[in-house]
Amino acid sequence: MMVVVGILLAVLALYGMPLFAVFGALALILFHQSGVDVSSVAVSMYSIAGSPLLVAIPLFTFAGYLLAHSKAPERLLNLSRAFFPGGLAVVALVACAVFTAFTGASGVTIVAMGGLLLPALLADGYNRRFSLGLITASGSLGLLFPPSLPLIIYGYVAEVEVDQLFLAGLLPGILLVIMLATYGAYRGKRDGVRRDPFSFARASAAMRAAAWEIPLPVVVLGGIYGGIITVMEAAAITALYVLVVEVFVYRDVSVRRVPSIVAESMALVGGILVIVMCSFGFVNYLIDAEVPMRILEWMQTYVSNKYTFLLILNVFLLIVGCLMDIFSALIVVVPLIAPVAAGFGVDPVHLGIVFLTNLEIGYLTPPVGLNLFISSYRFREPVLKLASASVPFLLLLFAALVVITYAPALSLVLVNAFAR
Amino acid sequence: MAIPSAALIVLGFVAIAVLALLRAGLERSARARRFFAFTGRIEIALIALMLLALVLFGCAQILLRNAFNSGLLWADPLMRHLVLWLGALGAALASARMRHISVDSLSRLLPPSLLPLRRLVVYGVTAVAAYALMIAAVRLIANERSYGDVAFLGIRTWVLQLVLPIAFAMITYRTVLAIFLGRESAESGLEE
Repeated sequence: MMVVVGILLAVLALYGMPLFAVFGALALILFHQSGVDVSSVAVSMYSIAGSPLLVAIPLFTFAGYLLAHSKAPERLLNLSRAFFPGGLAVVALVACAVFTAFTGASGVTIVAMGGLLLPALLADGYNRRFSLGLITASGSLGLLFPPSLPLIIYGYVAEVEVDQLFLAGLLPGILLVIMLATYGAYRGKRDGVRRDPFSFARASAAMRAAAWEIPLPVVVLGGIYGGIITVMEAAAITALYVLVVEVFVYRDVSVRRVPSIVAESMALVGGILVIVMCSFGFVNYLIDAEVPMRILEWMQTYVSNKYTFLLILNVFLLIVGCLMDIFSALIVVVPLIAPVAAGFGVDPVHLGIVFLTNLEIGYLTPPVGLNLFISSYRFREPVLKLASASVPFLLLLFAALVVITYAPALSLVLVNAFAR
Repeated sequence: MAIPSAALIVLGFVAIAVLALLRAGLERSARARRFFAFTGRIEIALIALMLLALVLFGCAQILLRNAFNSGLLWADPLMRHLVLWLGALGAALASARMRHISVDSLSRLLPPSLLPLRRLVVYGVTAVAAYALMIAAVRLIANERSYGDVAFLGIRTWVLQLVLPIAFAMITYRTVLAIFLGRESAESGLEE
């Protein structure tokens, strides 16, 4: 009976049934079958009011959407253009990574930056296929940088300190950017694209234009690591700061437009939090049924060391990344996998970075790669064309994934030095 | 609050479906559409106020702690509950626009003639699931009322939990409405 219901719900999920309803229905049925009152499903919904960490989510998301609707993407692009040599491709990657960190890898980057970048890349002489692949790939680049939403959600679900995760993501994130940027610079050189020599006047003009936004990363990171504010307070400051700067200082966004930006961002926050609410009952049921322990025991009979385990984990997560979006994957898969990984001696902070790198790759792979669909919608190109244009970037991300997986120090060195 | 019986539960779902049907019938009237656009704006204004409160209380806490070495004891639980409310009402908003996170890889392969059938089945099951989640939340509140716990500032926990059944009722209503309107998103008033 349960198997039939499970298969039925899985099929409906593949036909677009919202995932909160899928997990909620599973939780209700499982609890009812085992004779527990269904109100326990609602108990786990209410538990999201118990986490100070989740407070950061609506605040950072709102700040990110506000930035996306302002002229900040343009200023950020000019700023990166003035300071980063190697052609626009490199600039685009850096700017997108920074922007994604603030907008939480929800696809906003492609919508906000892509429209500026594509014409600029083409005008500079990059070919269209390369440019489309670059923008599609860079739409999720930067989700390892603080204060990205997936990092916060991993911290919440895996019960890992978020300030440790914020530090852990820095070097692997930089590695991803450098690898893609090297390819971008090589292509730029090969195709003989336009390159601007460094100009002091241009650089200072770009800095002056973005003067109010440049302190933002300092506020977030400096505040948290200076021990002055918590992650949740950093989120509140960021939201207030961005609101004041974009609406009253730059006047990019009129006061009348703010409610619709609130609505747009809170619909996303609600979409994520309702999955948290509804799937925790289901996840808790699986944990009570000792599913993670059984997976661990089963795996330990076949897999003897951490490195083989990590290989299997990567293959598994790549499949998860192909089938699920990043938020539901984090919420449902992390609680089941974290105990297994701990059993193999994988550091939970390192696990988080491996997890997110895999899911970042999932943004570019059919059938549910979010970036492919957003690019397809934004640039009116078929999904398959974008998927094939992204292949070189995908291969580079794979290479980076191998490094990140098998060199835990890359993720952990800063954490051990500053936060433990 | 008595725990509703099976008949009442079914009746509740029928009532929501009838409301959605009536609302769908009003879609042709321009005056009704203006009215629903207005209620949509009130909904968004409410959410915006909660978000603003979240921002201001968060910043006030930093100021109080660092400048005056104090803080409001009730501000933290208040903020956490604001997130519960924002999350639940945000989910209801996502339902109005049918912007929920989903996988949806197979419906692209369906012939267009089958899309209405897909919507009926998928949204129908979603509405029933959302309604069942609402019932679960109503039961939670019934239990919580009998404990009478206070969350903060004398506010009882069950009052704060009221947002859960409200949000899931809205989700149920909007999902059924999308079926009746025969389109992917429910609320015309919320479109920009």
